Amino acid sequence: MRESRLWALHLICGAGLLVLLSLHMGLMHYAGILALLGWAREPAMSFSSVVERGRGAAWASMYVLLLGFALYHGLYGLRGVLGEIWGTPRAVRFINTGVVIFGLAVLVYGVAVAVQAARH
Amino acid sequence: MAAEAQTPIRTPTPSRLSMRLGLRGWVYAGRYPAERYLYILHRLCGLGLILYLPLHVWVTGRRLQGPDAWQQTMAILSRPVFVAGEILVLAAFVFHAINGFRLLFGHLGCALGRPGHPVYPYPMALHRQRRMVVVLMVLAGALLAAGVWDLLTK
Repeated sequence: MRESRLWALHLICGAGLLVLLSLHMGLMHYAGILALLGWAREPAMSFSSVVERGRGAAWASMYVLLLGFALYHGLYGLRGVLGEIWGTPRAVRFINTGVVIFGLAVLVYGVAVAVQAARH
Repeated sequence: MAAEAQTPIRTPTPSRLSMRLGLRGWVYAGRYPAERYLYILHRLCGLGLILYLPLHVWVTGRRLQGPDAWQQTMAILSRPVFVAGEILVLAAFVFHAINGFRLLFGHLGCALGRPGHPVYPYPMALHRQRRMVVVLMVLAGALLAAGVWDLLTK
């Protein structure tokens, strides 16, 4: 039951990522095309654009949500792959602990960056 | 007799089988259909993306150190090796997203066709999805081409 819930959450995060990451990648990697269509003015990676995007609670919340979705979805997948290679109960415990610690560390750093950028 | 009864039966589960096959078990799916190979590529792209994510978060955090630090980071990232890496990340993302959409669709039971009688040759849901697979992969190729064009004409 627990595993099926974790799996369902993996799928939900995947669906959320499809929306949020597509938006993020669209802004970052298709800025030239968006500019051709008249939807973007400044280069996406200029300092002023980056600062402007990071400012405000709405953008910060979106980035935090995106990071949370990406970390859960990605690390759940990594856990599955590693569990296939080292399937002993001890190894699985080690993998689970490592994945949770790594995920929390990246999440805490990412949230700190998003919050500081929003206050900038 | 007693020792025989205690011996656990080791069935060749997929994980044990892939361990025995080593790397070949990861990249070679025998005569399975193309979707099995797409799944292998999906996992490889996913692994690449999750390994890249902490680096991306760190690069994003550089903006907090001011415009000079940001420009310095962007100058490093504009080197050909990093541009090539960015193209790989973009390719991994586009493929993983489009194929993930297909997998999610399948999990929800969409585009698999209606169940029918098991008459030989048995119709497979994957065969019914094949047209969608082709369309989605063409879409992924087009999105990747547009992204690479955008990246190289910055």
